Amino acid sequence: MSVSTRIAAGFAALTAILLALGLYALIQIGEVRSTVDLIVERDLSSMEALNRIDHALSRKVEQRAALVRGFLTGDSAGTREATAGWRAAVDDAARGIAEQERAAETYRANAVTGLRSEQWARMGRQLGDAGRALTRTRNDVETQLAAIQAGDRAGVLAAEDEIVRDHAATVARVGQARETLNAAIEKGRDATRDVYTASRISIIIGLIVAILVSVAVAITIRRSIVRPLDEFMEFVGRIGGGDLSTTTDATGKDELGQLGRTLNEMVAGLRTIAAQNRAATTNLNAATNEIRASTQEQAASVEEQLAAVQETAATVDEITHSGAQISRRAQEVIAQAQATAQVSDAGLNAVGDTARAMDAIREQAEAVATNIVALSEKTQAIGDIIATVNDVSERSHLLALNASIEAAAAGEQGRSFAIVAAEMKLLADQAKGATRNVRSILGDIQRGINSSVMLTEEAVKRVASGKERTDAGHAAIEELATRVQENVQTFQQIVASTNQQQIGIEQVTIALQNIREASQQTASSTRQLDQAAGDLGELSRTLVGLTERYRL
Amino acid sequence: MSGRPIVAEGMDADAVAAVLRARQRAVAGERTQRDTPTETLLAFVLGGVAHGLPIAQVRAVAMVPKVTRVPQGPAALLGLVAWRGAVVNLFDPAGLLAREVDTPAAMIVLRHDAPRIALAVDALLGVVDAPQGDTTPTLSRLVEGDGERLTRIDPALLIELLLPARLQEG
Repeated sequence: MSVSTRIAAGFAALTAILLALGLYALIQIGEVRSTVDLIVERDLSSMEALNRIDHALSRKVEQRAALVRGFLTGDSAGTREATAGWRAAVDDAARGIAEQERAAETYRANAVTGLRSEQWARMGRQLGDAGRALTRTRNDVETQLAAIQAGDRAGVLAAEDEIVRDHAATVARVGQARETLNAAIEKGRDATRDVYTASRISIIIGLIVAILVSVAVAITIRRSIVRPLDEFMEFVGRIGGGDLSTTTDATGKDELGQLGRTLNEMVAGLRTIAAQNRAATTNLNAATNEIRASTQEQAASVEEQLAAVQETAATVDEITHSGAQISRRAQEVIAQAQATAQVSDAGLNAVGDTARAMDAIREQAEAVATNIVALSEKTQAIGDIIATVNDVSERSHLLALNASIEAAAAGEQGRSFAIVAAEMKLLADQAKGATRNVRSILGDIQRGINSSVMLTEEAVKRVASGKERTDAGHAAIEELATRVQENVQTFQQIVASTNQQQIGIEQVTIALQNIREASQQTASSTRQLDQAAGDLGELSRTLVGLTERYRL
Repeated sequence: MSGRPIVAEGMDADAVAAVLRARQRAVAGERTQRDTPTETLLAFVLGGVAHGLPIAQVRAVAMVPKVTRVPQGPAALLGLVAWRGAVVNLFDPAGLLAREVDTPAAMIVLRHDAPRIALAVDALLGVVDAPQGDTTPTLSRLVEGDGERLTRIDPALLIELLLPARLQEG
């Protein structure tokens, strides 16, 4: 059941109880009012009726006294008038008693309480007695009236006592009825007080029940609302303390459960934000450190720049002096170049002689190469002859060995032949050694010839190359002479340019002065920037400390 | 023994060595002849090592002619050659003697008729006299002849090792 439903149910129960209690109180008030109205109405009408009866009885006494006085005085007219008045008064009294008696009977039948019913019954009886006493009195007075008509004075006086006694009885009965009415009024007041007391007690009991129900409803609602709220307060307190790793378990289906889920989602969001915040702060810290390092490097660079600018200024001064020297030297070079142009003409003639000598050398070298090639072919033929001689010596060696073998086979007879065979072998060995020596010498000769051929070819190539270089030198010297003339013009332009350069260098000096001032301003700004980067680094470290508060 | 290298005008190292050997032999030859019985060996080079073969067992020496290869023959048989109108089996003794030969330049024809046998060698050195041992014949024995050390080959054992059984029977 949701909290709103619970609260609505509690208020509905309280409202129903209070409504029932109010209705009941209204009914009780109406009851008391009707009871009081009834009692007051009845008592007042009864009191007025009794007053009227008393008044009629008093008028009856006065009229009878006037009647008697008129009789005694002989006033017959007065007597007749009094008689008529007396009759009317008696009739009023009798009618009032009868009406009140009927009213008492009616009141007795539907009295408020039993006690008042008894009082109304007693009043009825007393009024009946009074009516009967009035009837007797009337009869007595009728008797006296008859005596009066008859002029019987004695009879009139004799009837007086009876009349007074019966009248007194009537008045006494009516007085008793009045006392009874007073008692009834008293009872009515008691009854009213009883009804009021009963209503008060019942309303107080109803109020107590309503209070108890209200307390129960309040406790129930408080228990169902305050306990999760306490958990939420503790949970929110932990979050406030920086613990973002916690979640609340109060995730029911009611509004507080929704609140718990929403809080969990909020904490998850806070956790994400705190993690991003921490990462961003760490990045900020690293970036700040890099900025700090960069500003320090920049400060160093600016210092170096200042030094470099000052060095440059010194260099520009040197350039200014050098420019003056260049101008002077350029003048000297112009003079020397003109002398060089004259020398180059002599060089051209010498180079032409050298080229002709080179041509002669090349022709002689080519003739030497041809002779050497012919010599090489001859040595090739000697090599073939030596191979033949070597083969002959090999065969002689084998022949000498075979002769030795045959001599050994011939035994003692072959001994002298063995000596001859040994001499032959020695001869063959010497021939072989001689051919080996000749071949070695011939190899040296061939290598020398090859080397000579190569050297000769190289010499021819070098002569050709020298010829080419001499021609190139000739062309170069001509080119040189032309260039020298151009150089003279160029150096004249250099002199003019150097003068313009001096003007430019003066401007450069002014610009360097400006650069130095700008570098000093930059150094100042870099120091401020370094200070700001330091403050930023302090701030980022503080931020890192703050983000460390959050446990994720 | 080390000393200054001998240099002679117009002679190479081999010629100088041959002259020195001859002089040495002339000085020491008489004494050796007197002391022990000698035999004459044909000296040749096989795989860079000097060998000697008793000259009584040698019929002749010659250059290696054209060799006709024999399929499915023994491993040591290089092939058949024609020599003085006869067919001779040319063997390579290098495998048996644990030598390595590149290209044989000469051959030694042994005195063995059934079959005729020739040995391929690197080069022929000459004829030397060596003391004759009286020990049990072995395939190779180190001897000293004319001041040079050389390995004496026993021809009978060599032939026995070279020829398979069927060829020995002729």
